[in-house]
Amino acid sequence: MADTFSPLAIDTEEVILLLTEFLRNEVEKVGYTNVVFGLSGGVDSAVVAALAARAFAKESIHAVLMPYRTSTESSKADALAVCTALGLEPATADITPQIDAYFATDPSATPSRRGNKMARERMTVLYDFSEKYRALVVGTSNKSELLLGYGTIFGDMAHAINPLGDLYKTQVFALAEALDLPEQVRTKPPSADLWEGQLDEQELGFTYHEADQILYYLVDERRSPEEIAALGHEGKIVNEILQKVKQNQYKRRLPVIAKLGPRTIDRDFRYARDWGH
Amino acid sequence: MQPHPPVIPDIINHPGNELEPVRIALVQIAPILGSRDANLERHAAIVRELAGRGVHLILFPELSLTGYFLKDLVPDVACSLAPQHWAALQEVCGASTVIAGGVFEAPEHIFTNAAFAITAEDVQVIHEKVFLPTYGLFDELRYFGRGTGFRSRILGLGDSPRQKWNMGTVICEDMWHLRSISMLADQGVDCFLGLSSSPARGIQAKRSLGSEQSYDAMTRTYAQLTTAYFAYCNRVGYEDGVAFWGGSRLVLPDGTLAADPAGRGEEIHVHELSHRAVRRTRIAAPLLRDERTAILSGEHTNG
Repeated sequence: MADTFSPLAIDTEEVILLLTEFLRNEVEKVGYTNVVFGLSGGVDSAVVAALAARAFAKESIHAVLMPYRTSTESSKADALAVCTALGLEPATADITPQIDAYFATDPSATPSRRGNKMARERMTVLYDFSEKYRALVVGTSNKSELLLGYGTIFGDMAHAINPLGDLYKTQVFALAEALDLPEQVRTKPPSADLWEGQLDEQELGFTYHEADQILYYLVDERRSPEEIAALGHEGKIVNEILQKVKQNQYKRRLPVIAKLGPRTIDRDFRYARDWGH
Repeated sequence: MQPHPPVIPDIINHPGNELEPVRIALVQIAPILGSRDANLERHAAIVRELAGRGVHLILFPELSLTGYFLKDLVPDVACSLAPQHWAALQEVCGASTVIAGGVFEAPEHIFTNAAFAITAEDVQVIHEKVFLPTYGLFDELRYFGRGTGFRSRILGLGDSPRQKWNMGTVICEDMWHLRSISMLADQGVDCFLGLSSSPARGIQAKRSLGSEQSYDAMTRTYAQLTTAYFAYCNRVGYEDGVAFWGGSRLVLPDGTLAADPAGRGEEIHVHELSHRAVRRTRIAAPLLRDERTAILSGEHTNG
């Protein structure tokens, strides 16, 4: 599923080097040696697992499967195939009891509410593992998802560091191929697997292949929607994507703080996160 | 804009072409962000070793004493020329000259992104970055004052008697402006010192890394066109997810690389600088002799 749109074709060898060193550097310099992340069976977390396997000792990597009772068997099988291929020992934390207990009193909850709740439950599991193993939480959100807001705020979007956040989904697929991940992980259609039959591209209403090209033009090249339409993309989809990028800006920022004092966090109190490291 | 008048420093009293080469070290390190004292200690340890091995000029990257994405830390990590900041480093310099990057605080409390020259005898600011990138991932003009020009400096290098080397210092973005280089070239520099904190960007297939390719082209072109050495020292490591790509190198006055560039990790590369090589190149390609600065200046004025 490697992309043929040439601006998105990446030097995979270079990217793997940069991201492996990124993981090692950003983890070790803050005094950690362990990492933890959720392994879903999808391509994003599989790529993160493969990068982690290059950066750290196997016993320092905590890849956590967090199925819910409706999660597909193939997701679990794919996650385990990734672990086998990389020589990782997975951990499993079934989130069914917590989720079902919570919604027991509100059975009419929509799939979206349930899906968000699951994403946040998984986040709390990862942060508990983080404390238990003194492991930094590694995110698996890619640039397409982050820009489109196709993620749960304080759920899968919560993590300490993220190696994939500047790679579009199609670029993640290219990386998966270069990292020689199991074929089923590289070829199946992307799914958040939050409810049965959920498929990213069906839910979004466009393919990643198309969205990534449009996002590249909009974000990286700062072209206008009219220019992009003139390049052969349907104007309606271009505008939908632009709206999603705008509407979801809140997910990509700290909460808004009411400015009162002389130096307000994130506005005129400005320090790098790596302050002192 | 008034053209910069050519300034010919007084170096002609001893061309130095019969002298042995001097040794230069490119110290490609990953500074700790915002920890000036820890960085200074690290500089001192490296300098002690290199000076002991007879290296005459020790070049560190841009903001090597402080880290790059300083933001509000700029005033906290600044140095004046007060001796207490520098004593630990001066003690270990021996006969070497150290060029390090840091934040200079002028008596007027203006902070600049500066290159310091440190010897056992004294400390000077040899350049303050003029072109402060404030676009994309860069925000320097918010935090730093601008340097006021490009003036070459004579450094005395080597074993006694010391050789005069006319050095032109540029800091990272300065290199993206042709006039920085041409103004220094007009002053007859023998060697450019380029201090950098250049982030790795551009991962497109067949064009990666974009930033490395740009600096490779610039350093080789500048050396060849000015028939001077170009010593380029870039940092490595990561700050908030931004990688610095290293690749420090010495380019000879004919535009070829002295050796393979450094890689992505912390590395120290020692090379030789020879007045004979500058002389040889300028005999073969007398570009500096044939330069017509006055004509170009006239055209600027008329334009």
